[in-house]
Amino acid sequence: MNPALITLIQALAPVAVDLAVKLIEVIKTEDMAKLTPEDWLALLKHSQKSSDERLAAIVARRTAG
Amino acid sequence: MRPRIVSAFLALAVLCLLPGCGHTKAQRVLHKSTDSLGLSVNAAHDAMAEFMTQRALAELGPTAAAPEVMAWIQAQPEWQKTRELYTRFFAVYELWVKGNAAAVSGDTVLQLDVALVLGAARDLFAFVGEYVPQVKGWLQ
Repeated sequence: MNPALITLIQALAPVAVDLAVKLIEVIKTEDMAKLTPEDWLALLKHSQKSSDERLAAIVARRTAG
Repeated sequence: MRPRIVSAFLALAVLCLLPGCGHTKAQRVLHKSTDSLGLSVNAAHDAMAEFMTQRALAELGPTAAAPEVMAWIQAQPEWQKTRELYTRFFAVYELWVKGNAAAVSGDTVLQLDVALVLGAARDLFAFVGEYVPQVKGWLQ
């Protein structure tokens, strides 16, 4: 086998491991405490509004007005 | 000549696997998957809304006006639960997306486990599935 190829494959292995570790780091939960109650409230209100709007659109389509 | 081409491809592969680049690609794939999940959650929510609207019209009469139908639906515990589960999913989802964006840019803010996003969606699908058969079994 080409020595350059062997060198590249050897170089690839630790990089691949590093990538896997980074991916795991991204999807793990880190610091829930950084979220304030206000942050939660804002997110919840936004989603509630979205739910209400979607329901209203469906009801409007199915009723006379 | 051939080994050089192979080496060039391998070098490209190494470049694509470099933490920053590979990381971003993986994020993109993950985002696409969760985007689809968000669409499915909207679909489950809307299927329940359709179901509740039909129930309201059966209860109030086919000529019932929209505000009356809305009020009837919003008073039902099963709709309140659907709204709660939907709200929870998107709150968790938004946080997850923000956390990932921050991670990509090297910032260290809150990062949520993707399992929380999946769990929130699964809870909604399971609940709506009790009323709307086509949603039953989503993400099981």
